[in-house]
Amino acid sequence: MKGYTAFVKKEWIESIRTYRFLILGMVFLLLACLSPISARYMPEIIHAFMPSGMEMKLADPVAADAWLQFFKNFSQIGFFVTVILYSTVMSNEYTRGTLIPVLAKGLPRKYVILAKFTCACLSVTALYLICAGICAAYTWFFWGEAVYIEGVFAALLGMWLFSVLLLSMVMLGSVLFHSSYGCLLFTGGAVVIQMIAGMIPKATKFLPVGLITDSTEILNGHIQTGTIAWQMGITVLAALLLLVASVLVFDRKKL
Amino acid sequence: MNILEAEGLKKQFGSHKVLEDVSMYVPEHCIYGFLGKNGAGKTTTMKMILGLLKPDEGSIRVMQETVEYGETKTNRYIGYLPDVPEFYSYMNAEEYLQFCGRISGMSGGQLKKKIKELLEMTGLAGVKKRTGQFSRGMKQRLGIAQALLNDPKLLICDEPTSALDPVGRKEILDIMAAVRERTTVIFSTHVLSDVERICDRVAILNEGRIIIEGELEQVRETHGTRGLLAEFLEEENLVRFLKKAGLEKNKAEITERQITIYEEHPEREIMRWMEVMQEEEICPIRLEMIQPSLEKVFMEAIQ
Amino acid sequence: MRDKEADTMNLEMILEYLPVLLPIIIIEWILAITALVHVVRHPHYRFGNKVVWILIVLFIQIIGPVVYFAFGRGEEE
Repeated sequence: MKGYTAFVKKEWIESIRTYRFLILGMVFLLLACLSPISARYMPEIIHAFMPSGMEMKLADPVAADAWLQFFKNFSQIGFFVTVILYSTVMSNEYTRGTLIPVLAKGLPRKYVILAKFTCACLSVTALYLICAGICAAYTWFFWGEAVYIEGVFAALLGMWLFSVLLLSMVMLGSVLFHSSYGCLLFTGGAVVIQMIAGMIPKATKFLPVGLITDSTEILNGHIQTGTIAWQMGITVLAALLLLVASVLVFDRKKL
Repeated sequence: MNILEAEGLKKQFGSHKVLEDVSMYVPEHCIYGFLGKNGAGKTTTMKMILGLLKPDEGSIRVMQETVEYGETKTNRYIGYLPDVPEFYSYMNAEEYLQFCGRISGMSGGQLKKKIKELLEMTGLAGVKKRTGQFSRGMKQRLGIAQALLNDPKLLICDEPTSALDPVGRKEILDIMAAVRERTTVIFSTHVLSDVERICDRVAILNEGRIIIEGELEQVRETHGTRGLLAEFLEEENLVRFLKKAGLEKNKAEITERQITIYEEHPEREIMRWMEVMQEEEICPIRLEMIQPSLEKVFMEAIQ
Repeated sequence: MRDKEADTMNLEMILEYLPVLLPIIIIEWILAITALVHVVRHPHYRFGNKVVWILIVLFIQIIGPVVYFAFGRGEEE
């Protein structure tokens, strides 16, 4: 257990000193600020940059628009950057051989995977919570009382669960492949396959990716609670399975 | 007591047989030189001892405990220095040792004291650079420090001196000699002078088998060839000497002006030669007894 | 006439929105400056050279520093 905490600490130092945490944090914070601002001023910006003489009827933005932007930005740019930054989490160790002295010290291999996953999850979760707070604060600032929207917690929870799933996919991908590109392809492929499968109406209910692609509907309360529950349950289960698989694969990996 | 016992190790990568049948027994408190050409299977054997590779056949015991692949329980007795040790480049030496200590379950004051002692021993005390900027020799020294952190019963070093300049090499050998009181050292190498300098026992690995094993002196004596050699300035002197001494050409190696004979007890023969030379007034430019050398043993063994 | 009006509007808009935009500007600068310092102090890159990276980091807001840290920076310290 001591070995595990020591490795978590090492991962944390690594993410600070290699600027991983800084970049992730800055990108996340940026998205959190940008989402409500762009939602609020979109009509005016469009108006200002419109060629003279053209008129366009735009609905006044509401608080829900801020959250819509938030979910759209995070599920695209936010997660993309997350996956890129964490895709090197194993490949750096593989290619440089830094794990060999550590494993030779008797650290159980599963702790390596679990510690890396823990550190990634904690970083992403902490930043995500701060970002949700920032978005809420801006929304309150712009729209006052009307900040509470019914589906917002379900949507936030759904997207957080998906980010955890994404990190577990990154773990398995990076354990399987020696290069970070292999890991990127693996994770990207897993998401794309889900999106394709999502075209079959009956399958949607069981696909974790629905938690981010349908966040608009979740936000508006247009999706049945049962469907979201299914998606969340499967997401958690899949994340656990991927993590177990990563540990098993890594146990058999030749170093 | 044997600190390490390996029996009948076999390993094949694809169709390439790396280890055919390797058995080795390492007694306590010795420096064990593990010799072999590049690619002879030294690193493979060491990684098996560490549980980082699975042998196809055979078993390994460290301190009488069986080594299981993937499980690394026996590694608490072992300190390992990889051939090219790589550390997290964003840590400095002290931070890295802290991290390693925590992993092997040490903490607090005891760990701090140990780190200070090791940094001083390896000459890294006061170095604040991050390991990414370390030179080869510094990395090797930090590698030894991390390997010695948990007071291992067995220190395994994979080619610790091969990539170093003479100064760095001497530093590493000195450190290894210094720790022999406390621990048993196995080190693989193809640098024979290093072995002659500090090893008590040697094993020579060739084509996946250990072909010679034993105490350094004994190996030299039993496998090494002794003999004598005389060299003359002119060929005619040699011919005259051969004739007077009654030496047959087929028992000796004869070149233009030189004769070499291999035999186990060259002392009496060399005295006889000297008598002949004195009588005939033939002066050699060189007359010597050939002592067994590890290099000769090694070269002959891996033929 | 209409163009002029639009211009003054832009300026007014910027002034009005400055407090809201400030966090974004700060974040952009933090990223750009950290990346710039790293580019200057670690002159080994996986590809490209110092000048190229300085330009990318300073003038391609946000994406520039991210790309540098994710792909451009060299292996060692």
